[in-house]
Amino acid sequence: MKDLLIASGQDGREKALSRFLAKLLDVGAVDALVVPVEAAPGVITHVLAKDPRLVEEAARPLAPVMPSSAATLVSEVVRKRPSGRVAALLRPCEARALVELVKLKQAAPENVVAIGMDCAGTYDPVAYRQAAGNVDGLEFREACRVCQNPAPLEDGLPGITLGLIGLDDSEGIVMSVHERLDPAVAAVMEELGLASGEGAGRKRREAVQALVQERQEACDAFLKGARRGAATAEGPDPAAPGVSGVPGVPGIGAFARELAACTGCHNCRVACPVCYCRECVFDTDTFEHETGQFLRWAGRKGALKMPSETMLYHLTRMNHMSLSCVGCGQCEQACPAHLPIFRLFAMASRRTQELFGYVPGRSLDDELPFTTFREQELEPR
Amino acid sequence: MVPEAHLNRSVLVVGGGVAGMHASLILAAAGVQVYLVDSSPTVGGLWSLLDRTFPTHSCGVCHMSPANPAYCPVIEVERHPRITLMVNSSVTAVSGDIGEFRVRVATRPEFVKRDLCDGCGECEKACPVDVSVPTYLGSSQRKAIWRPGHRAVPGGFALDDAACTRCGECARVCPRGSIDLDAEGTSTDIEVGAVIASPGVTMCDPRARPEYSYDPSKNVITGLELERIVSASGPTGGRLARPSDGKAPGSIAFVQCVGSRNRSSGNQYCSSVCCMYAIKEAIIAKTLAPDTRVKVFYMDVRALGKGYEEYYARARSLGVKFENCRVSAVERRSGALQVSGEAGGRVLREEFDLVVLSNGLVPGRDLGALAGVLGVETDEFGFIRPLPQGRSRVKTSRPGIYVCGGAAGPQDIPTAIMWAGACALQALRAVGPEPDGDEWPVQAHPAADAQALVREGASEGPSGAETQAEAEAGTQTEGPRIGVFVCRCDSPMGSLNPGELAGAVAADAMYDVVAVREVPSLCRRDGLEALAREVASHRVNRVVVAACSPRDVQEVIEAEPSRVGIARGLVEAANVREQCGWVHGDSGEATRKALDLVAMAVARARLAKPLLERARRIPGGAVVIGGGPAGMEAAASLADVGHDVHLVEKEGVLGGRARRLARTLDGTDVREILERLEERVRSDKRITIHTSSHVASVRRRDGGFHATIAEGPGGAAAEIDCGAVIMATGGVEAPVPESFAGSGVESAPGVAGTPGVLTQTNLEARLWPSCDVACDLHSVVMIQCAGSRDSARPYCSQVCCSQAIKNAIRLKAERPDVEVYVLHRDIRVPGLSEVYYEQAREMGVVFVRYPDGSQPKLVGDTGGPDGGRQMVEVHDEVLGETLLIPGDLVVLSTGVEGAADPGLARDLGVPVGDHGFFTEANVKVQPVDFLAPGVYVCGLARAPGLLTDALVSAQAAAARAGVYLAAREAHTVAHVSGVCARRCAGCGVCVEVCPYDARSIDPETMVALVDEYLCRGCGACQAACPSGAAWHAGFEAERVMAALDVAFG
Repeated sequence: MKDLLIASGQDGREKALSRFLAKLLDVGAVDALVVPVEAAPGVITHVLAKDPRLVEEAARPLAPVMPSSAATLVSEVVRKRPSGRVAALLRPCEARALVELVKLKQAAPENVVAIGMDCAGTYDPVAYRQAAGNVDGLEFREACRVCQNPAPLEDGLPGITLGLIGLDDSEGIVMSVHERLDPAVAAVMEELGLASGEGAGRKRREAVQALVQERQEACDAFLKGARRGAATAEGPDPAAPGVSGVPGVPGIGAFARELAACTGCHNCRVACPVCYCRECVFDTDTFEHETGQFLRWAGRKGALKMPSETMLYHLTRMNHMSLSCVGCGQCEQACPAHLPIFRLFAMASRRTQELFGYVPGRSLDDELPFTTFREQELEPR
Repeated sequence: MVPEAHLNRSVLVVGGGVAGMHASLILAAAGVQVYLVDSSPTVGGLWSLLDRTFPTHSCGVCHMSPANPAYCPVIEVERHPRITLMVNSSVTAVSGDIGEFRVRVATRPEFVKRDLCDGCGECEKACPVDVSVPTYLGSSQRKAIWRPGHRAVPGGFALDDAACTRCGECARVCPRGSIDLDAEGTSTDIEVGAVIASPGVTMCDPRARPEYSYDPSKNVITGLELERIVSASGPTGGRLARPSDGKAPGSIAFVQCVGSRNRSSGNQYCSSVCCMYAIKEAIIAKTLAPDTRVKVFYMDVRALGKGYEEYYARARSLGVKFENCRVSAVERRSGALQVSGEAGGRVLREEFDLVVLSNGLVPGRDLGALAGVLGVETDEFGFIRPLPQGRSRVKTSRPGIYVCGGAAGPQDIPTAIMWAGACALQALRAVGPEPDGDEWPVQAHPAADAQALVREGASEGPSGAETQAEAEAGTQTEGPRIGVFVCRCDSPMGSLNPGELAGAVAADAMYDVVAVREVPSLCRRDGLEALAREVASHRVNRVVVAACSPRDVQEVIEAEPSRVGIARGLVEAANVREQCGWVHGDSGEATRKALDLVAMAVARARLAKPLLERARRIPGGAVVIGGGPAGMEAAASLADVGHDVHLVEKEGVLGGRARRLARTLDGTDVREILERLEERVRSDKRITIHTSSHVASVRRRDGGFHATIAEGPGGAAAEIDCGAVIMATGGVEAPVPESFAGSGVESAPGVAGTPGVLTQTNLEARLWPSCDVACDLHSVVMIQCAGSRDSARPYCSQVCCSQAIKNAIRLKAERPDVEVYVLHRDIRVPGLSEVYYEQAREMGVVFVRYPDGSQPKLVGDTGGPDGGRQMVEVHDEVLGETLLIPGDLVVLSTGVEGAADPGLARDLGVPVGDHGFFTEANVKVQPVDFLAPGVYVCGLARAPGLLTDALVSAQAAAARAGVYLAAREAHTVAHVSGVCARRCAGCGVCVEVCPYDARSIDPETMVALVDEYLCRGCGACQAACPSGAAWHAGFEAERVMAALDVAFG
């Protein structure tokens, strides 16, 4: 992969990038583009753009917020084939989520040109909006602060990669083209006549390496703290059965305490980029019970938590999604009760993903652990 | 020959072990009447003593049955309408000929009438006679009237004739009058068309080697005894303990070849099974107690079977040590056991806490007498002599009498199963085809009895939709009326008292339960009749049985719904025997848990709906792919039992890879074998031969297969519809490994290479028919495992040792002065072929063992006018030295590789393993089947093996295909899976997890589809589907939730 440079113009690199994206539409390299725009000061949303002028004018490709995961949006557009060729600007977590969705047949990869970009972190969209886009004094979201993948992975979906980390606004953006990118699109890139970005590329790679190192340490510390916190911070509950049986891993009681404030809105499921069911089982009549049933449950234990089934809901989602969880934190961002859903998923998915040696979103060639069987995969190691 | 119309369509099977049960079930499924005779009080044979089998570490024997879903064969042989089970019986006379044998069966007195005894146990309480019986690890006490152990079939009580004092107490107290102390033995005359001898083997007496100090009480035990110790149903409940004091042994030694491979103190032959059972037990010991030091003292590790080498590697990776050492003595030394022997030129002494003697197999005590009655020849070891290698091996010297299992020599379970299949095929041939082959529907399926079977496209009977609607309407007119029936099992229920449980259920007053009763064993006729009476008198419309595994009891009841009066699907089982009585020592605890299980079953039953099975006609005939010996044998065998066959061979001539072979190890001319096979397939009008052809495509259509057979590249294509496909696509000679490739090995005739370096098969081509090697040949060096059993090809090719020994013997016979060296890691010849290994050694062939990971090297030639002789460097493990051996010929045993066509495999929905061999349904008891119905595999396509094994497997595959085709219809299972289209996201996870290839995603709608005839109702899709879109009839989410709610709510 050769490093090319998208040079910053006088109006900065975000504008330069917008012009570059508009160009892709203009010359017909792609049929449409999923890109964030600024609807009002500090209000960022995605659009599916066809008009290059609109992109050039309103796109905010580097806006440091992620209102929705672009993976979900792209999947909605390209789930069925054939459709047009859709390019999408994807943060590393969005790109990895999209890889998972492709494996789950929720997106047809031949329809997608992935434009992966570095992402050092994003802010909470509400805070960003309230500050009207002024990020002074704002802190990246927790999920971003411990994110170990600030740069796109090399074996992801074919497309192009935009390098930003380690380069300041005047230094432009390093662009590289994936080897397996559709030759027709790759040819367009050639025609753009971009200058070599070798020096900037080297600088960016070193910066990425340093950041990854820093983040790995942050993540380990975070998980360690989270486990200890869950086990002790809120005080040991003698009645809570330690179902995990693993020292240092809290049982179901701690889990229940963390989620006690859940209102059952299911927003986390809507926001999750890899939760892909057409109709969630929790929206079906499976969980519509007769009055007598509710009363029986309440009678058996003295009281029934309402809304009921919130615990089962989170456990089920964790069971279904922890292997594919890319750690984007959209679930927690969407939670009106500000429950620590990201933290709980991070704790669970670290273990399940390590168990199967699976890195979600790393490559289309990695098989989903659910779909394969190795005789001794669950034996203690 | 008897005219076909007069052939007796029944078969006698002597011996109800694994082989006998398998042959019986195949024959019964093919519509043949079977008499299964066993000399012991129960069936199951040696297998019933095994705790578990490798490599799955499960029992898994239920997979052997051709029925699907199948249940335990021990129960199936008892209740199959076409199998007459005769236990406590022996064959005393056989007269007549093939097709019309007359057989006399003597049955020992039946003191306890089986059809009257309901297992109440009053007799046992009344019996004053205490009997001490030797068991594994000591003795146990029982009465003179007693109940044989867990899962004994047939069940009920038995009387110990020798111990009984005839006091009459038992007969006095028996409430059913089932005891007759004056009963006399009976004699039955039956007429059969064929006889299968499968009386099994016995373990040899370890005391034959007194120097090994066998004494279970002092911690020197046999492998079978260890098997009992580690068994959950054994004396320690599955805890690894040494017998002397019940403590966990810190170290265990396995001593191999006790009573085997030693002419002076046992048997000359190899017992074939001991290496693998020792490895299995070593792995189990290591798994139960990882810190235990486990060592196996062996002569050669004979991991001769598919996946065995990998299993051996697993043992080593778990830390089991293997020492090449013939143990000379086991002695007791101050509390420990000292194992001594010679290894690598030094004396070895090591102490252990427990010593396990791997004693071999010997012919059963009564085998000689049986052979005399059957009028069949035995060999020098006392086994029934099969026909020579290359012939239909299961045939004996008397036409119409066939042999399988241990009676023919040591056999492991997969081999015995394949021999049993081959026997069944021969017996089917002998009794002739079923009359009236064209009628459909046939009455072969048990569900046909109950209108729970809907035949698609059959002219009579209601359509499926109507029947389903009617059935549902029937159960909906009235609310659930649930009857709970506690089975008074014939086997002991352990700590659980059925009467107590029935009382507890009645006291619990569960919702919708209208009757609670204790009934006689439901495996028995009177049990079912009692159930039917209660169902009728209480207008019960849903049944909950508290008994054993649903696999057993549910099937037994649902198989005959019209008799019970309950439709299929409306029976729920609570497994209170295995899950309560057998595992909880405390009776109160067992009853409490049983009550919970019953309550869960009641909750499920409340929501139960009737289930239907569907059937559709399948086309007749088969395609056999591959015209080597296995393919020809399979085609000829299938044609023999009345099926049309297309035999497809890609070469212009038949014979396959075997054309490159000259002789089998016992000296049979391979060319003659091939000629005879070719004559059979060419002369049979039922067989169409397609040479120079290949199967261009094959797919499932209309219940069968549609195959396109293309002749040559771009040649004419034949379109064929058939009901079954047999894969006999063979394998290939493995390429010369990298490490020798540089030496320019001559691997095919006419290919020039380094003078004197060639493959074993090329050497064979030079040795027959005339010996075409130089007369002044000085030395020949054979290198075994040249490319096998290493990281690239971790399996054993299984053929190379036999081939090397065969060629070495020939060389020595033709050129007595030549030095022959065989450089090996283990010499692996099967069972009775040990005699040829011994013969080679006696003729002066030198065997040099080299250690793993130190393959011999070619280190250049000695120079001289013709390039001289190749020098081979080898590390001799026994001498502990590196040797340089010059060879005029250096012969590489390169082994074989699988050659499964992945495209064909995908089309047929059958899996291919890592090394190009097809993956069978169950490596132990379904060696020639796939999970996908109608497709079978044999020969090298399945696994590396000798020509003889390939031919037996081909007959076994033909037997399975023949039975499948003879039913003329394919069935769905009742618990079929389905899709809720609205919920399905089309993610395809269910497609990936389905082991039966029954699911696909519709590319248009992106919704999962189910082929109901492929679905076996395993439930993997339902478990994997996150959306709840995959469901199973009988296991709907609301029913599972209702049961869970009772358990945890």
